[in-house]
Amino acid sequence: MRSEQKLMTDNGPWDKNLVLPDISDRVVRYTMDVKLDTATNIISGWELLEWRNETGKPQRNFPMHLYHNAWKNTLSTFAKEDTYRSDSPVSEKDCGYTNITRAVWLSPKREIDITRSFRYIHPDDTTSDDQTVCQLTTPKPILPNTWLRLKLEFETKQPRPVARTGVVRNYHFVGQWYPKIGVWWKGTWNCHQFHANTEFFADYGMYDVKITVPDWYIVGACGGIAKSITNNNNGTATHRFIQEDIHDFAWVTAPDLVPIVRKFSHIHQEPDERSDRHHPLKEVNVILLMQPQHISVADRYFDATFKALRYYGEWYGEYPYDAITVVDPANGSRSGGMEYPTLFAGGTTIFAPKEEASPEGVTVHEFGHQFWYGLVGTNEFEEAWLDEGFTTYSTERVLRYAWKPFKKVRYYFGQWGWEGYIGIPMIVDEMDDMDILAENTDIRRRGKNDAMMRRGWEYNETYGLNSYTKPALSLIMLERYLGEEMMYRVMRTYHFRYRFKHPTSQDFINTVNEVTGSDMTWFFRNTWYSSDLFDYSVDRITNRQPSPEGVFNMNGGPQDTSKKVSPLYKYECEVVVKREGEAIAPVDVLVTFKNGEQRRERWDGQYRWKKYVYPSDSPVASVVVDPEHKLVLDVNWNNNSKVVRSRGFISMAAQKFALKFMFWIQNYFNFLNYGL
Amino acid sequence: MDSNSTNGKNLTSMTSLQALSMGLYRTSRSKRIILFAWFINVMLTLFVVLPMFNQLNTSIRETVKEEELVQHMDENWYRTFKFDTQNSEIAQLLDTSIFGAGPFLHHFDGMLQGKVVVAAGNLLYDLLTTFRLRTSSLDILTLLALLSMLINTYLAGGFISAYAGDYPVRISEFLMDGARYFGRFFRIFLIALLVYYLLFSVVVSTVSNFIGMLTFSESSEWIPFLYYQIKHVLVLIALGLMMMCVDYARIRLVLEDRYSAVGALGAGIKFVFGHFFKAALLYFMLCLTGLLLILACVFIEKIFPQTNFWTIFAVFVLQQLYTIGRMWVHAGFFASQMVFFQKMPKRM
Repeated sequence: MRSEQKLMTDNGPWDKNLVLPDISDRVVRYTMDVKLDTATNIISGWELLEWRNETGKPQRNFPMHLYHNAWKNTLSTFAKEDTYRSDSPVSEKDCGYTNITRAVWLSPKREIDITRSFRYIHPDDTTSDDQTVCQLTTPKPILPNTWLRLKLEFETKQPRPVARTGVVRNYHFVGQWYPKIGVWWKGTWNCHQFHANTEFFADYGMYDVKITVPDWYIVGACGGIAKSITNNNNGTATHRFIQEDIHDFAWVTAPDLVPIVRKFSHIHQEPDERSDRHHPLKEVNVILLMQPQHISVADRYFDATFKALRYYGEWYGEYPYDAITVVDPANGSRSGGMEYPTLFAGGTTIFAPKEEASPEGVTVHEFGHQFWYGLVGTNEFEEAWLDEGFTTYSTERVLRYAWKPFKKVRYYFGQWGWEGYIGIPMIVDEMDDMDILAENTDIRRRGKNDAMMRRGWEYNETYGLNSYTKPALSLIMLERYLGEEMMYRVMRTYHFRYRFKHPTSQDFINTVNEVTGSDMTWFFRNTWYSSDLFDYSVDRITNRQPSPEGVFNMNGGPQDTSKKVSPLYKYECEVVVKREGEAIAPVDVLVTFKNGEQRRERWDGQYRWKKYVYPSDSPVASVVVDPEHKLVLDVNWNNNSKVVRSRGFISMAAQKFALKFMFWIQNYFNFLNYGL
Repeated sequence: MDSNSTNGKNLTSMTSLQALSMGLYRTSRSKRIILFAWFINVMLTLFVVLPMFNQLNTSIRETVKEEELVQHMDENWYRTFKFDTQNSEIAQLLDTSIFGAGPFLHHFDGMLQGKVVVAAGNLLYDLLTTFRLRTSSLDILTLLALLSMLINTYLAGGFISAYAGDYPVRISEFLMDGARYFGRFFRIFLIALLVYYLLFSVVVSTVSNFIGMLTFSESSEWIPFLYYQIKHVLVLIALGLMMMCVDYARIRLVLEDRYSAVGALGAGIKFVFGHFFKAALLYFMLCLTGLLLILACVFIEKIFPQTNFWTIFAVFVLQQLYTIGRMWVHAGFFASQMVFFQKMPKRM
């Protein structure tokens, strides 16, 4: 805790009780020694898995992930969900697997071979084809607070690149490659099959991994800089990586990777940094492993990583590890845009102009997973939005704070490549990019398919929408409802409280309610738990000029029609706003009169419509529902306002776009006539 | 280097250059017909521009976004507009490539991919093989492009006749000449369309697939990029050759009053390959003129902020001047090639 960071309240700094844990519970310890055979693309070796029984009861059955078995054939759950290799016949080279060749239980007294207890299990469905989860059984139970020690000999074959894993040419991206134990969570084992969209959930612990590769290969891995590199004098070298308090381990190797190391440092307050939010951050070695042809992009990778380290550290809490490894993926490796603890893969092409957020967007996003996945270890299988959605929200914030808006870029004269379009870029100066607010159209299109709160493989084609877009937009909306300062406190509290833990959505909601001191259940009921759509609109504006006429006067006598009665006000203005969607949220209504006067109404948004009547000397000129655009999940922002225009008014913007469109068509005729 | 070859080289350049300058000079006496062609072009665009304007105006005029959108295209509005108008084929044509150099790059790219030719060809292929006209595969842009091609085929007869003689022509003569040659030019058009279709649907698509396979495992994206650009250059050369042959075929058809389209096309091919370097140089210089016009248009458009009525209007005028300029260059192709053909010794 640092004194300079506090915002004082009546009871002292708001964050006086927030303390970041130094270490995780360290439920698991993995010690591995493996060798990559670059001729067969097989990784073989052993792992010593140590798992502390924190379940409170004796345990004999231990589920383990064998992720690479998803690529054994087209029968796995992953393959069925992803139409894996449906584009081409499957050959041996395409496929991958992980085989446990021997399993030995290192009991306190002796070593017992339990290989025969091995069997595949299917926690998520009844298919007998999937082999991505197995179970090992010990002859005797592991008692509470004692350690299970298993020595597993295994072999993993790297497939042709698929789902950010595999080998292309001599570039290996090695993720989800070793037998990994499930998580005891909520009173049961949580060890899901490998699904096409979801794959992460594991316990925190320590990894000590020795990797042997040809001695001319460069290796990058979780843990940063290798603790040792031993030349074995047989054409191979062994790289040893050690990292505590992480929940997964991945590595990358290739002979032509270009390592560049720079140090991130953020001690002193930056000119654009608020003093109450300034926190001196830990120095971090940023290890960039570049493709040789991408060296010119290295500075952009570093810039993005440094900015992410700064802003995430400033907002949520310091990045605790000594290093972060950034991998620029090889062309065709399909490994771009992927996260592992202390290591992530970016991705860009040499054609991306500086106006385009490439590699900035993917770098900030994947780095963001160091916090929302890495440090806060949510269950991505079951609540993917807690990492993807939170990361997308944070990415948008960092990009907005750290750069001027990026532009839309279109590419021509080429074709889509592995990591982007291979062609000549054209910057669309008129339109900013990375405008996540525009993604609400996707919610409008498919938002009703599913509520967000579902497991990752149980969506009706809305995994991306409900794991990235909707949660990110809902967090932006929450920020706009709560205010930036309150949201800062919420997110920081959530991160501090759940670093190295496995929180759920309810934990976040509880944090919101606690920090804000108000019950925000309505918010989450309408967003996270519902497939209803928000859509508020202005229905009509009526400016009537009253002309009192009639048979009787106000006293009940006959009206003297020879006298002109002056109304109290020149206009009777009526404004009707509507709730077109099913989801409900309170919204402001801003009414502007022709004389410049403004009235702001607070509508609870509950009933289908609301009428406001204003006797006024000036007619209503315009009405805007939700003028600050707090309700970013509103699926149709174009109907949120209405302006009273004269009958002959022609939109200048419409003229501009139509004239440009006309020239576009004229050029179409010019170019596409082929001289005919 | 001997003096003859030097002289020969100069003579070659001069001849092409002279043809170009004489051709452009001839176009100066056809200002009215160039403006007429531009007028036709504008009328054709209005088929889609007016409905588009109507949709845009309806979407924007009563919102507070109006002023903001003049300054800056908002992606949120753009995507909502596209969603709201998803049943309107014309409104769906609104694209971010309307800005900046987009109209040139987008359509030049489309030209190199043979979008229109392949779409039209597929339609005809379906018609011939299944005896059904699949109008669903014929989008409004392709339909307009085909219409534009037919109109151009008509106008080409007028232009070539106009430049065949040494006297200015009136609009009525221009139209009559267009009508006179339309039938024969249309047959050339069909043959050319077939050649283009085979080029794009067989040759270009095979080459693209081959590049994909060849560069599948390349570590650097430079390699596929390079291959794609080489492919584009080759496609451009093929297109240029075909256009030259078609142009000279039509010129010969008019000058020699031929009736056979196939014969005229053969004669056009013979002429092009008989005077290949000079003809190609002339063609290249004409293309360069068009390219300079494009660059000038892009440059001038970029320096205008286009955030108020007058700048928007000024850019529109500039764009129409450019379009007229393009028409003039197009006429220049006919005129210069006509001069070139007339001045060259006839060996066939």
